[in-house]
Amino acid sequence: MSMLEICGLSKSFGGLFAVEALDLAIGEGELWALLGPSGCGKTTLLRLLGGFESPDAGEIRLGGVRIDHEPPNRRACNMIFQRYALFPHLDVLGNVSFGLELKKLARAEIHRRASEALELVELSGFEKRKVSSLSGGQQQRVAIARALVMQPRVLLLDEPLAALDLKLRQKMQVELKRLQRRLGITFILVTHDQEEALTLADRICVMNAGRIEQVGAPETVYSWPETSFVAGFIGTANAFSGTSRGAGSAPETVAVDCGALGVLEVPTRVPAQFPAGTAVQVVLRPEHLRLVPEPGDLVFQGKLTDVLFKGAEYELLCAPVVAGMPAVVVRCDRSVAVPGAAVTLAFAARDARLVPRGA
Amino acid sequence: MSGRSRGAWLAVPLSLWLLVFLAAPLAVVFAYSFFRRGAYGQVEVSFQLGNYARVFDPLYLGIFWKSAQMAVSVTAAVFVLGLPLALALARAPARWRTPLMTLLMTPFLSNFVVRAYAIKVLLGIEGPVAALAGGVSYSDSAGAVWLGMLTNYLPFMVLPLYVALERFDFTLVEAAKDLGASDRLALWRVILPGIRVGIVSGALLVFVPALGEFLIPDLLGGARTMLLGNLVTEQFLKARDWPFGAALVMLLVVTMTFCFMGQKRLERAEASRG
Repeated sequence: MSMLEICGLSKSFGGLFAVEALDLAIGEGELWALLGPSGCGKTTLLRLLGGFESPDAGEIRLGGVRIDHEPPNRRACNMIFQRYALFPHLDVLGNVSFGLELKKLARAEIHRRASEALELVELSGFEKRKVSSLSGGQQQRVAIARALVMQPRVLLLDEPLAALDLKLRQKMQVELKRLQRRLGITFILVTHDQEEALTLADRICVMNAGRIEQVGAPETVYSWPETSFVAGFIGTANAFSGTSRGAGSAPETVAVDCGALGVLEVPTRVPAQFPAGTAVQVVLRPEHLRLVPEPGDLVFQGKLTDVLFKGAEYELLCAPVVAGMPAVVVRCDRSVAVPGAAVTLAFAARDARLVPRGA
Repeated sequence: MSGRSRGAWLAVPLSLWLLVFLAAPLAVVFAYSFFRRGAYGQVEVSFQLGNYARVFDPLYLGIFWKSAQMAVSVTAAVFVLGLPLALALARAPARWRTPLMTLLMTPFLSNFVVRAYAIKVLLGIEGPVAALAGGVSYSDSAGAVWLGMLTNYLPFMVLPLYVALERFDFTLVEAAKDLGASDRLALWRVILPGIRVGIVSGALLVFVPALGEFLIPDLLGGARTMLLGNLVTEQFLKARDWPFGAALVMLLVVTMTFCFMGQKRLERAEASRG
């Protein structure tokens, strides 16, 4: 049994579903990312878990016990708020010991646990500082210490790194991941940043319009997207329309008629999902398109429209010559041509992925 | 002309106004407080501290004490009543706030004397309160004065509280609850400290005029309720003892100055906290 179980959870605001009939099982000590565009319901889900919203339907169980109608002060979950919500009238120590004082613990015990938490986030010596005098990253750490000192079973983080600049965000990503591994507490974090989700999480739950699109390990979600939304939201996807012709010659492949591109045998984990006649999308990551064909590659012609320098690599935007084919993005290590040049684009069918079209 | 001195010029009209109509009369009152009342109520120029010595007469100290008690209890009561009201206003949907604020202000559209007499009728021998209380009239009592001040000063408390609450970040309340606080504890430990400045300005806006109030006790207190404000008006209008009245006024002015200095200190501390 999973530690945190969500069953048929729904919440609507003014007749619109923010979260609709959601099922999710979260294990002990896992680091989850709820990923999706703004308005997809990820923050509502987090607030439902924290007890700041009450669900219209469904259940939340923590360790087998229903908690969905418990107020936040009676749940073994603690929340890191997006803008940290530190108490401005208290100093760092006052913030961290706030929850312990409410528990009416002994002075010495409060002090010991608060100091430990501050040490954990490397803020020893900051006890008497005003929170307004701290930098964004330090405030973030105080918020983490304030939540961890309560020894929660689940730590909820609402866009924890969104307010930090890029460098600090990357540093905090590593720190958060290390902290989570060391403490073994379940972390559930909300983010709209797909890179952050891929970097941090053990499990990603991709949400769109109040529903779960896909749940899986970061590698799986990236390499085997199940819907066109997931393919488009995580990483860059070049998508071609096609029609299934049923099972391919190799196991776990489907033959797809891509019109001018020919018939491709595309691998999939669920061939049964694409019976003959199904409208599909063939998805290709930019790193799988190349300008120099290898044996067995599918080849098509295009025109280079833009060259974008990305530091470690270049991104080439190409318009395929084939009518009706959308523009594609190619990633390569050097700029090979100038905009306007004709290019040959190639890929291996085994690198392509299938998702249902339309839905 | 530099930008700075041009800015200073803008303050001239108000400074002049304050000088002519506040500082100068106050200086006159201060001077009067050392003068002497003549046998026929005229003012005799002198320098003596007799008026101040009289202020400390137990009779007058008693009145001062009663006025302070009244002002404190009125301030406390409007705070207790005004805080839930201000909270409701600040948490109301944005489109409701303006109509609700207008409602709060409507009493000011009617004349104060009319409102005072409305309370008088309400508490009077033929009013509904007397009917409920078995024919006992509560008008012309300290209680009626208290009630009159309460209704009159409530908006002065609600407005600064509302302003402070509107700026207050209510995710702090969620954070407090997340850390185990009940609603009541979140109010005490997070909301109230967070709106301290609003509480203090509201309290001063009520306490200071309530301490010097003379019209409400006059209208609603009958002859039985003598507060500091009434004592002062009495000295100037009836007893014709302007010097003693002036000394009493100075006592009020000093008390109020201390109050405002306290408020400024708090505000400065708050500002340095960022």
